[in-house]
Amino acid sequence: MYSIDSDIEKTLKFFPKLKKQEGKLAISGELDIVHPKAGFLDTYEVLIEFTKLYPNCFPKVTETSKKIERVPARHVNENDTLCMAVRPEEILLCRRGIKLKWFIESVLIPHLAREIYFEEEKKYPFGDYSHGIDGLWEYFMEKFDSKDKNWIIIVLEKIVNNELPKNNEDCFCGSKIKYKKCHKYQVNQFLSFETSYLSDEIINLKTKL
Amino acid sequence: MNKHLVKFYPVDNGDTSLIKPKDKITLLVDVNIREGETNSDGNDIFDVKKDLIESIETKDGNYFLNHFILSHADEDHCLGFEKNFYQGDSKEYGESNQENEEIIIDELWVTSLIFSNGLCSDAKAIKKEANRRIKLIEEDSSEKDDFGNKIKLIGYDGNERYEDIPNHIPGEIVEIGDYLELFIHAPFKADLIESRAEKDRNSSSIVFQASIKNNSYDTTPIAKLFFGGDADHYRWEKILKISEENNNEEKLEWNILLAPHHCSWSFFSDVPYDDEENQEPQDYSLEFLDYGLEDAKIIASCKKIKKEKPNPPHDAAKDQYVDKLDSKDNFFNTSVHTKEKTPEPIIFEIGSSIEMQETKSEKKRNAAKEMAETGVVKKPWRL
Repeated sequence: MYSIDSDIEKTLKFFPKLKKQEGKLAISGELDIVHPKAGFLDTYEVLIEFTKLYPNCFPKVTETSKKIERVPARHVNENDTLCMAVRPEEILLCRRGIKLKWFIESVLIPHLAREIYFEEEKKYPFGDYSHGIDGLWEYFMEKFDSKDKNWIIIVLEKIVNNELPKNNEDCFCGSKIKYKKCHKYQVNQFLSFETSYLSDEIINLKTKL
Repeated sequence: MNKHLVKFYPVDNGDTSLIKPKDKITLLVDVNIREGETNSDGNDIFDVKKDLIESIETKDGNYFLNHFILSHADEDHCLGFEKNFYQGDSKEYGESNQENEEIIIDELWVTSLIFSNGLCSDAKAIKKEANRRIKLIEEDSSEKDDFGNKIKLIGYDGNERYEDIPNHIPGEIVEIGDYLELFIHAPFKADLIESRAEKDRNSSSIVFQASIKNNSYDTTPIAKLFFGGDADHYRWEKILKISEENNNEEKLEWNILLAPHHCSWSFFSDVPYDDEENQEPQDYSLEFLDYGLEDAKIIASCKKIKKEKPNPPHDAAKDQYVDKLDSKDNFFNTSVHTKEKTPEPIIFEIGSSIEMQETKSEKKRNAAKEMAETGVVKKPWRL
């Protein structure tokens, strides 16, 4: 049985500069970014708050040291929290629940390392998604390896409506190739989503067809 | 650290070069430590002093250089000396000197023109310090060879006053520690004329080849570095001629050359490049550049080299240098390494080969990228 208090307690042992905030479901303090060989790179002060949806979503992270410039290009939300991943990616990563230590080590610290890189190069090491729906589109186009928005909507609707072919049937794309050898892999990436989420996202995507 | 280091600091049109073989002997060729945060172009002034004291060794807790070589006494080669280097008896080095992190020079190398007139304030401070050290020799003081008191005059000017002062003259090989050997090419006697000093110090520049061996028992060096201050075309012509006449061709070879006079045209010709009818480089200059070894590199210690004036640096000089290199990527301009806004020293690590070291910001950037890559999310987004 998951316990957020126990999750926090276990995690703080690994990050002694982070402390639990009194009377709040939040932790705060310094997070050192240390490369295993190159050593210390930088320190950020962070406030990590847990919402009701946690652990099925990322906790909210505010970079309180304000080293990251508050401009749109730096992916800081209007409420001052960091936006670390595009929504569907976060949903996929959190669908079975996450652990705080994993989040700090695998999401937050690499994100802050990305910000250190930005300070030096004025760009992100692996690029970034555009803001809002445009960024969502970029994510879906990457996953489907297609720039055809209408086609992507059709496929997403097939997923939602459970209209996918069987393995040995022809793929829906008209290639005359068996589905299992054609688009099955790409479609499978989205089968883990709740259909209600996908339905909502289709509506969002359609606003920028 | 088991490699030799050679570091060229970004100081706009000036020189500051540190040689540090793996026996940790330190040799600084010229210095240019500017005040302030940004230069006239709005680019960051690299904190030479901070980096220098991180790079050199300490004795009794105080920073020191084994050798400081002043190629010639122009301000762009000695700026910041008075403030940042200790002057006086090292036994009297006090708390305030320590607080200011003043660097003690064990052995000072200058030419006799340091005793001439018309010097900038920093050169005057070197002159005063040189006089203090010379006085110890003249008085045959028991302290003349103590730490922080040694001096060598480079070149011979025939002046009787300096006859008892230890010197190194052109043609002489000077061993420094287990790995480093300097071959003195210049200044020549004819250029150490005090009456001419105020008008032209460049021609009196100390010119030397520094050879570094990979192992102390090696008989051949792994790297040859060439420093020539602001020596002009005539001096290089003479150096070439004398070396070839004496079968000293190997003393002309270089793996790394600090482009003379901040990459100005004066290395190639005495005729200003503006004279459109005479833009040809002298054969002697080109011939010297042919002594560059495989994969040789040239460092232009100057402002960003642009097509337009002022000179130095000079774009036409750069073109001539690049023509002589195996690759245009072997030509480096200190002011834009690796970014014009935030230049950092050009550092070579010398072991069994000569490798360029990543700058601090490159190391940080690459380490950050590696850490970012370990994440499960590669790209940020904003709703």
